[in-house]
Amino acid sequence: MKPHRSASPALALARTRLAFGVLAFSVSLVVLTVKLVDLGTLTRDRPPPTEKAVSEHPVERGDIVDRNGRLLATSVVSRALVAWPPQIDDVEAAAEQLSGALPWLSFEEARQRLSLKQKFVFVARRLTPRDQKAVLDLGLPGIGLESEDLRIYPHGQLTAHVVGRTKPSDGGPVGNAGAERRFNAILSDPTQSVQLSIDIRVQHVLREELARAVEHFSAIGGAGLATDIRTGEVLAMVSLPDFDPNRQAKTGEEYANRASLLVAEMGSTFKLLTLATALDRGVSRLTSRFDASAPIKAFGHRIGDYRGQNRVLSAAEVVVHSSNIGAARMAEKIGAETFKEVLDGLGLLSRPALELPEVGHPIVPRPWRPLTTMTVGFGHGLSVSPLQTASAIGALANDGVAVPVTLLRRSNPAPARRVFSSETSDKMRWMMRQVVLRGSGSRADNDAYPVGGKTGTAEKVVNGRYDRNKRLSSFVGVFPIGNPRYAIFVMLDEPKALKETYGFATAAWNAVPVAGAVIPRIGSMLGVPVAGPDSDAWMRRIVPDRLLDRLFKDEEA
Amino acid sequence: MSARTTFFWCIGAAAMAAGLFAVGDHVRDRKDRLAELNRLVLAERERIQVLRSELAFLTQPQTLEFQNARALGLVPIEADQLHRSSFLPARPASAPEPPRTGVRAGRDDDPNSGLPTEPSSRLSLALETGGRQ
Repeated sequence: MKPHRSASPALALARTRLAFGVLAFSVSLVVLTVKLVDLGTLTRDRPPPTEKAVSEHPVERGDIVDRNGRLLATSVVSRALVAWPPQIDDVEAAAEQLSGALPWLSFEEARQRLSLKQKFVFVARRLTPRDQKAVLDLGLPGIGLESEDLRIYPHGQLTAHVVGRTKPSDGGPVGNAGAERRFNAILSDPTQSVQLSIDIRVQHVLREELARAVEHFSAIGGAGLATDIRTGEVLAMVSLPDFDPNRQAKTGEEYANRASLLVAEMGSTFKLLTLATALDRGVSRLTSRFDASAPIKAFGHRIGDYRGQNRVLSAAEVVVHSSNIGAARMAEKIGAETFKEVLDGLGLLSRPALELPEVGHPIVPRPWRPLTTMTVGFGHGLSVSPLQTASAIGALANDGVAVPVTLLRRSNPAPARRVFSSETSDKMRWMMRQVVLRGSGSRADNDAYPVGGKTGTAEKVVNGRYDRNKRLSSFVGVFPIGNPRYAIFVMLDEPKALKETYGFATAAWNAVPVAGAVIPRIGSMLGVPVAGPDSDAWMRRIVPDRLLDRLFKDEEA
Repeated sequence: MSARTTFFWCIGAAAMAAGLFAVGDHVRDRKDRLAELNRLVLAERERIQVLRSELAFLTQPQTLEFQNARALGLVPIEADQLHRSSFLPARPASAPEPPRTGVRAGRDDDPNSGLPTEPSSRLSLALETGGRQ
């Protein structure tokens, strides 16, 4: 009985094991059957998990747009012809087929690229859709298309110096100049974009008129700026010669931004600042007299006038006739410390905080000698950029309030600081208008948008000496001068004298007409109200007509 | 464990397996669809980007100027062409009443602005009679 009793549980155990074995086998069979059915009939065509012939990726860089949302720089996906050399069995045959499908790709070039001892190589970039199809139709193993960012600049040269350019890198395009470089961190996020303060319409008009003048006067270059003096926004910034950021520049000279990077002695435009400082600090009045009857000989130097009046001039006449002697005497009277304090307040002694890498440092004389004060009074001895000049003169007209310049569209008021009183600003607007009405700025005026401004013609320093034949001629203007809103700066680098300019190469003959052509064109674009009859009536509130004969000698005639 | 219990367990397991299979298949379908949609979105974005770039090229100020010169011949407004209506001199009070021309003044947003006041034409008749004559 004992064996029978012991065999029964063993049999039961065996049966149980058998049942579990059958169950496990059945479940496995069912699972395998189901998977087989799934793979054979239900599974859709999925791409194989191997490397695809055409890679896809989104653009990796954000857009740059102007103040009205017009595209200035964007990225599109382009396809590059790439190869994985270790996967290519017959390099010669592959190169021959590729050069046959792409007529612009030589057999030698293709063979050289495919023979490189690398895992992955770029054979060619920026393939057209037709080229892409030709490559895919070949179906060559180890050959494919790789997507990559292509940075394009729809306006090409028009915004070259502002927008800048990129250079390729392993991680995609990287900003190399201009806004591309300054805002590289933001633009590296494709969901972000940068809106500049530039108005492409104003930019176009300014560049067109400036380029015309550069060509007409055979200048080696030029610079132009248009700014909103109330917000500090730069509406247009032009530097010539320029370059097409879609292509490689021909010379390094084209990359230089003359509007913000170049620093030079600006000449007579500084006389406005000298007079404003003198008026504001109570050193002078418009009627004050300055002896400009003879050149000044001071500290071993001679300060003379270009076409001088050779008489005692009122402060107003010093500016209208652009007397270096009068301005030097005025600056001397102001004193170095006061003058430097005002120039610093206007941002002329430090690097402007514009959002561009290409911004020049002013060249401030050290030590600042007494002669420096006198020469800076008429715009020599202190080198600043056109951007700084436009900004300082803008502050002068903007009720004496300096607003930091910006290349970004401002939605909130910028922090501003008062440099001159409102009264001084009013007098200086009157003064700037007088320069246009009876001085060298007459060619900038028009009926619709009255202009005030000042010309400046400075000799360039070549090998440490002033060269009389190489000049920078400039004009800085504000319009509408009765209710100032916009500043415009025009500069020509080494303009030549022409027969029609009676042998003159000064700003009155070449830079001023550019402003005169630009202002009426951009005035309506910017929505500036047209001036009515007697648009200069505001001037009588500042300086009554009865005082004019005390201010200007020619009024007596 | 009785044979009946085992049978029900097997049925339950099979039902669960079938259910999981169905859910898995559905998820796979959704994932495929999502991948396809993502690919389409990417392609669509790429196309939009290219179109935006082309539009920017086509609306370059230089291009518009060229097309204008070729087809329209429009010229920029000269400064002396710009005036403000508020600076127009007012009509003198003693001025004689202008002769009736049959055209009335109206606001820009008035659809009948500038239309003849008297039914002196077929157009005005049609307007006043609602098109029935």
